[in-house]
Amino acid sequence: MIRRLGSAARFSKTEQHALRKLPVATRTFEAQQDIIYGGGTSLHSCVVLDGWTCCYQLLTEGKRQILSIHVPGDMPDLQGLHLPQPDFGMAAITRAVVAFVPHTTLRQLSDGSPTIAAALWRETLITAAIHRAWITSLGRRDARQRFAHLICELYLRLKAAGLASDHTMWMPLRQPDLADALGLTSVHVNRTMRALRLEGLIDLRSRQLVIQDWAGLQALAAFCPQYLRLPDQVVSSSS
Amino acid sequence: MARYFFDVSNGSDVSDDVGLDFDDPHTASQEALRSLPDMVKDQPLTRMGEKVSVTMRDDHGIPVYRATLTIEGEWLAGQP
Repeated sequence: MIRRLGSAARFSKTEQHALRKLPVATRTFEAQQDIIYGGGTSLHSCVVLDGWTCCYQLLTEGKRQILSIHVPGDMPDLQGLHLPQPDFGMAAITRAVVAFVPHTTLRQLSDGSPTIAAALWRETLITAAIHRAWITSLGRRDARQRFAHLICELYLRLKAAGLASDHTMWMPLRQPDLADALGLTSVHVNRTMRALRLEGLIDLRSRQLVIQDWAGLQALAAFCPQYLRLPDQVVSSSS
Repeated sequence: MARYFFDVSNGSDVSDDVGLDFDDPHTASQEALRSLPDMVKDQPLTRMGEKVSVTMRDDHGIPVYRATLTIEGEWLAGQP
């Protein structure tokens, strides 16, 4: 969390110490288990420490839209610090370890340090930028482009967290999860994945996804990584 | 739970070697049917009577269901 927030901020020794001493409650969730229920009151913000989670909204007839996917280091519900009634649910995609930080403590910390307050604010702004990219994908990209865009985004976010390299990443999302994230039917996701494989852009075997043509995948998605605000070395290096 | 395979024809033919699990054939066929309007969006619509179809095979490889969507457009007072 400190490394993530500190990527654009310089914390003093005292601030680093205060962040390290945050009272966190760590919980492990099984795959598919709910972490946050929409509509309730939330007294904590969380940090994903291990595994993947997603934020979602439910519709009638059991339909679900996945709003965002979270990987270790992410703080998916930081907005709850000021809007404590989440308008979304959050669930574990894989078995996940999540740390909860009380809002009261976070608020004291940000009240006492403009640097920390700005770092938390910046983090929520990046979350909003990712939502904007998803809106554009869901509204205007076709299925291949949507899928390609999601893979490009997840690869760079995982790489920034030190969890992916050499164009290879873990892909625990099942086809129904991908369908709910991409706003497609699972049959269509299945067809789209095959198309990208046949085009030599990606390969997926036993939950390991290899991007075989990084430039081609980015070109297909019209992917511009600037919205992720990742450190230059993550984005610029060829792998 | 049984696995079904979905071969798609929309502009090009893509056969399925992975498949998807469904509780019963009816649910699987509904999913095939519902996928058609989405797939049309991926397809360049150049000809009249463009077709999109999904053929569903069971886990023995036997085709058991096909959903087809045809896109029609016609000039009503002679082609300009």
